[in-house]
Amino acid sequence: MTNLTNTISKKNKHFSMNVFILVLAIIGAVLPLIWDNPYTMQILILIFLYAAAAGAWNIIGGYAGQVSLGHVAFFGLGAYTTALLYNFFGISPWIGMILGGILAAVVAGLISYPCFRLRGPFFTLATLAFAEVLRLLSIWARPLTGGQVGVTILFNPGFKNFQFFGKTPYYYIALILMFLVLIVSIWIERSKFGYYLTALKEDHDASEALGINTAKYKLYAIAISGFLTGLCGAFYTQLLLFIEPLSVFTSHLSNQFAMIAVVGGAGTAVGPILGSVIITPLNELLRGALGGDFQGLNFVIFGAILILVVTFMPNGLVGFFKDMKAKINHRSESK
Amino acid sequence: MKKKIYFLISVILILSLALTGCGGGGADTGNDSEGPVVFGAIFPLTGPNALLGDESLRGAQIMVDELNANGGLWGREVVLNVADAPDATAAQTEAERLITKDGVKIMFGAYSSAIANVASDVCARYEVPYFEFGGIGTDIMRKGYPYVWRTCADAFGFGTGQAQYVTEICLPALGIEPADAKVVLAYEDSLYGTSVSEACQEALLEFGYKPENIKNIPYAATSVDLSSVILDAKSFNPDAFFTVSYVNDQILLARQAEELNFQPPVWIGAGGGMSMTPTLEAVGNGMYGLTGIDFPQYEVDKEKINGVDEFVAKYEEKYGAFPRSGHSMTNYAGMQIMIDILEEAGSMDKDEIKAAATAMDKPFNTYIGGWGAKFDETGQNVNAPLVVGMWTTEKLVAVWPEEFAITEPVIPIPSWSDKRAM
Amino acid sequence: MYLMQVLISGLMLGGIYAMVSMGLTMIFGVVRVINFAHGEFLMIAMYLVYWLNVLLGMDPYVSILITVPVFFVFGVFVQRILIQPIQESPATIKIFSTLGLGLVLSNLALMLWDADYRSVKVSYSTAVINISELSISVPRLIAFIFALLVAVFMYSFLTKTDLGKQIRAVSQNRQAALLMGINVRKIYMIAFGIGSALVGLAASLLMPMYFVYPSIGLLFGLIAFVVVVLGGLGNMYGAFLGGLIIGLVEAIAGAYIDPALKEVFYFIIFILILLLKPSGLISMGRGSEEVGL
Repeated sequence: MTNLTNTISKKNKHFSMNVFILVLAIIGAVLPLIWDNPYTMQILILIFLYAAAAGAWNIIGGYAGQVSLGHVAFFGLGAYTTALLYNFFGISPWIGMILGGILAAVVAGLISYPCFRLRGPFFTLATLAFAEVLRLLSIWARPLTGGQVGVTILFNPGFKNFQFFGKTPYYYIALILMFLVLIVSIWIERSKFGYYLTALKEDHDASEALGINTAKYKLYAIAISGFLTGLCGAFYTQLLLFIEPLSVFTSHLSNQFAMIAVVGGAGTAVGPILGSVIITPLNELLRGALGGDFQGLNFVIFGAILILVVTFMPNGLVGFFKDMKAKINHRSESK
Repeated sequence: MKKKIYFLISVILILSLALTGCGGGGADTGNDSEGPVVFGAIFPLTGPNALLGDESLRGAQIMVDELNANGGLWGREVVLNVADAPDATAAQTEAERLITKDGVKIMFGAYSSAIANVASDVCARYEVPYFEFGGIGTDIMRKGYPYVWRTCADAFGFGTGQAQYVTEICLPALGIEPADAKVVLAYEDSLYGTSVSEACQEALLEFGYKPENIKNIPYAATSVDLSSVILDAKSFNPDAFFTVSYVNDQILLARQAEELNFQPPVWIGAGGGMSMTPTLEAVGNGMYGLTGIDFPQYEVDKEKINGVDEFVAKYEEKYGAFPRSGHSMTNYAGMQIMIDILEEAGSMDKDEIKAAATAMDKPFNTYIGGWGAKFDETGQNVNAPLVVGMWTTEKLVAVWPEEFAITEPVIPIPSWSDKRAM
Repeated sequence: MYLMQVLISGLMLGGIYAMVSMGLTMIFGVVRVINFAHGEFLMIAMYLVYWLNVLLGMDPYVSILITVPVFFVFGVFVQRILIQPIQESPATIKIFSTLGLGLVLSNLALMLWDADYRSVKVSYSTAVINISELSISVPRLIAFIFALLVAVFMYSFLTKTDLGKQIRAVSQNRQAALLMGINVRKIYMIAFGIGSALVGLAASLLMPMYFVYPSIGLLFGLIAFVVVVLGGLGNMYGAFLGGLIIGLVEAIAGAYIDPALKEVFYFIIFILILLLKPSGLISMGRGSEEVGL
């Protein structure tokens, strides 16, 4: 009897989530028809991009609980791979994107593997150091990367070049990217893999004692995370057609990916999206509105939100809503 | 139950998106034939370049005030729609906003070459004319865009100018031939430092310096310590020390050079920190004799160069202090040139602007500070002046070229201890 | 001779790094919080020194009398208000809280005092002592000496005084300390206070030779982490030595290999230490890094 109920409620759980995602997808697909102002679309593109990157971070930082503050390394690798392959060899950025993602995944695996022995903050510091080394190397390797000057891609629109007139194509690509990350996250959540990640996040030693190969699963997680982040970096290259170490290897971005996921709700599939939807427009609009007069206010607010969320809603906004719902249901049930 | 959570989340998502959709203030949209003339002004006003981005904007704002006091442009009021672009991503977003949301028809900026790169890209896509007043990265003008112009000299000019000054003025004073001269090029490794020093090195080779006598030392502008740069340079024992730096690294270089007792006979910087008052304030007498090539600054031959004192007076009246750097005057000059072009063109139509700009042929010293205006086929102003200034114990005075110079440079530079005793 | 000068420059630089990091090792080692806002604390303290100089004409070295107590209180405040509520949360939560604090502080500084570089004008900022052909910068030498004194003083404090022993007890084993009747919360506040006070001291020593602007926290913050891990959490001598080592590495790499790579070298050392001996060169507690904080 209990089994049956469990199966049914599990199906229901998935059902409502699936419907939600579908609704989200429809809204996303339809929005450009209502708001076709390029500026608005630019903001939406950034929202989707950050949501995707935060979602990618979430896989290792949220589900597996290994906080990395060096994810910009993967972003930058994806960005530079795409740019350089196109500029030097004329390889289509679509392919470059995949290759960039793969490179990022490989590097993720290589550098994380030895670091997984470290726990908590030490792992975090190691990821920070790696990202910094990558940034410094990208400046030093001037013949290859152009150094601080960066890489410029000439505007030459065409599908093969992954360059378009107008914002709409970029919008849809960003939307798809975000949904890709979302679907991967949901797949992880519902799979045994995700189960193992949760286990090792909650209690690393106990999981090992139970025979779970924590190293293997962490490796998978960070490789997937790195790949997806690399895709985001590649997209960024095509959006701006100009990359430099300051933009794509900066620790600010690492922090931002993590913070967006945390504010929205780390360890949930929807959290990063929620986080990005709130934080990204806030950042852009505040800067636009206040700009010269109150330089930096947008970040003060961002920082304050982070502190508040982390202190009072450690499971992020998604967690907050779940708690709220649970409390209301509990009260109504006990009546 | 879970449905309700998702419902709530959806509501939030939609509200936030609504915020995005309606976001931003309502700004004047530049109308083609009536109402105020609106220019988009994009500068880094926050972030690491905030100081000079702001200083640049000030120059433009002074010009705007002046225009409006005299009837405006085409009899219409001039208004600036200012956008803050602390980095490249923001530059793209803000440029898009100015054009697509606020309907700006002409844009200028940006001080930072990275910002200029991105902003000019966006403008090119929408065929909005873009004027660069202060960013010197050579790339900006090499992309073949038809509606981009730069009023100031570029990195190529800076680097070549450095090499020229040292070869024509300094080496003879020291009695050394270019083939025998040893030089060190120390530069911060971003777009700015790299492009200037590359141009400098090219010019040096052309002038006959030997490659083995040229040492390159790039460094990170954000370094906390530059003693390795100084030690490296000192061990090479150069006749001339070329630097390209921002303010903090310039201060560090000067201080650590003093600590390590490295005083080359010639020290020439290129814009950035070498021309700025905060550098003098931090280093003091140690700056004496150090030179730097830059846009015209404020101590030039006022008999020959027009408008400088008047500009300083206006600046002091509006901002209550002496200009922090020459960038304000540079942007003022750029604005003067742009307005001149617009008056010739008679409208904001991009092709009429292009025709007017191409036809421009104003000699040196037509505008403030020695500026002239003549654009080559890439849109670069070839009559943009560059001046070598030398620090006294109190200010930066022009020493080269002759049209600007008010004093002779001091070659070789006295020792640190002599300078401290001054 | 060149080598000697490089070594001396490296040591002096190391003294600065040590000074900046000793506060962090106290906080990290005892309260077990990675204070990502450490660099920003230094930045705010440097602004304090600057304003004291500009508004009251106070010499930076004299300002030590003010920055140390002010920042002690500030540290206690931060621990009580920001950290204590989340003391039991996973370390990752604490990371984000201090990260947020760092963001707030650096941008508040930007809002209040804008991006201009501020430096204090003192007559001795480039004073040097010359021994034959070697130059030693006086302000750096002073910072170096202070760093050494602080290391010695803190070591004595931690080993010889009651309060110091309590702090060490909490650092080594929180549960046991609690059982022994030590007021752990109070110790955390004191430790954070001391750590911050040391940052205040560092700021006073730094201002004669540097300048402050809102983002300067980023530079020093990262270096402080490297030094602290190298030297071992909570270990004052470790932080001192770690600072010297990093300074030397930077100087030597810069002079003999490539100035553009000097930071890469100490990061690589950092990573190696994390991988090979995460408890640092001279560790204090057990290897908590592998067990998780």
